[in-house]
Amino acid sequence: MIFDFQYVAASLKVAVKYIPTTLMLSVLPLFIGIVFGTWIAICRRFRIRIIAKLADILIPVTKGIPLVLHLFIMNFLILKPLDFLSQWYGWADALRFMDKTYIGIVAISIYAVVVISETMRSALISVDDGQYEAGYSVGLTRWQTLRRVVLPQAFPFAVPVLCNNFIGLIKGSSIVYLITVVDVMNGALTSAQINYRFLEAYIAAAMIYWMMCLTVERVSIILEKHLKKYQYRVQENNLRREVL
Amino acid sequence: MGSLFDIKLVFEYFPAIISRFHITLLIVVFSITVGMLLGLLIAAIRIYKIPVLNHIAVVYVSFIRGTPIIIQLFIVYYGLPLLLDAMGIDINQWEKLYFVLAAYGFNNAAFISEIIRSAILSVPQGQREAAYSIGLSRWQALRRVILPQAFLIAFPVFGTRVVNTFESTSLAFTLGILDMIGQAQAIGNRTYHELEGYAVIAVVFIVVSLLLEKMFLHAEKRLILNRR
Repeated sequence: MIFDFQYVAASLKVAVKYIPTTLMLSVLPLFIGIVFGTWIAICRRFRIRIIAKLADILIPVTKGIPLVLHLFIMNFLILKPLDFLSQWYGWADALRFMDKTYIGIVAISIYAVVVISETMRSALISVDDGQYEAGYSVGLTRWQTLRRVVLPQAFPFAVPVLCNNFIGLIKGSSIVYLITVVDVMNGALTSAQINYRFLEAYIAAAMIYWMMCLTVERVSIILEKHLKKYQYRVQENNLRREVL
Repeated sequence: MGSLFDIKLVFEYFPAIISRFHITLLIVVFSITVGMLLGLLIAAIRIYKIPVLNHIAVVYVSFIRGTPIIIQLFIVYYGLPLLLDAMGIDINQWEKLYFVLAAYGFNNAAFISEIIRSAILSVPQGQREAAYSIGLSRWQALRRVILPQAFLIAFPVFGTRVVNTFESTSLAFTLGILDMIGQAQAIGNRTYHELEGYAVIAVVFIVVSLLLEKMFLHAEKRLILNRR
């Protein structure tokens, strides 16, 4: 069999239609991860009684489980009880038409929360302790200090790492094809199932992932530059104030 | 259909699944070794900016970093025979494991080359100039001044890379390798008890990755203590 670009183009055409699915599988977990991950990181930073202890144990442990296993375990945990229920009530069709994308989103979200909570934790640590103390000393409550002083400084630090995490999620979302969700990878493969041009299909899928990751990388660089500009201005102002 | 999760089966499946652990280990060790050798080559090409090879290396690294490992696995599996066939080497009879090893090796080469390159470039230029000024040759400067400093910077990142590689080997079963996950699925297909197998694998992965992390942290501390 000889490599043929015509089939790559054909696969590309099919796969491009599934970019929204892949994006849904990576953007949604990213947002869930940022929201919950930040909360977990904050709880660990302030040593909130039970939650911090629990997170200290659970997060390293969950981080050790590969994404595929998360996906398989979630797939099993969500499908099997539903299977029992449907047998009980006799919904044969409800299961067959259930969208497995949601299982993928749940599994990837759990992974994202764990990874992003670590990112946010290091971002919170990067803010100097003096900043917290300064916040308290002017009479801000803990929450106000966090919202007005610490988080605005922590986010610029976290953004490049978050973009990296996002690239990881985009790449990681490709494994949902194992539970028969049709995303970019599976979309590219559907055309290969007719003509047996698997290599061309995989290359087409690779092209799309590559383009997506490059775009995120570009955006990350632009964001970083923008944030750095802002930080530089802050430093400049501080300097001027000191001189005066 | 029995119960959803039976703790007794976890212990029953444990020996069968752990007996495939050596394949995971083989993939990690082999791919890190190959990755280091190829990575050094790529890093050297990129640092010394060798004309055409530099561009190829940039595209290669970007491609590997921008695509999922699962796609790289399949591209190597379907593409390598075609490529070598064009050169007159027939590898269609190879075992699948070799393709997996090759794919993980290529993958790690790109990542490790980036680690090496950024570590070497992060050593301040003044160090190199200082080395030249006291009469060291280019190679001596690299070996005695630059590399020891770059090694300290690269080591923690390298540790995370090893842990990441270990976790990503969980995808090798997609090619039909009978590693731990492949074994768990085989058991699951036979007995309808997949979850117990996955629990076993999860425990193995958690324990090994925590151990690896602890090991690298310890080694890092020792290294830094020895330096100062």
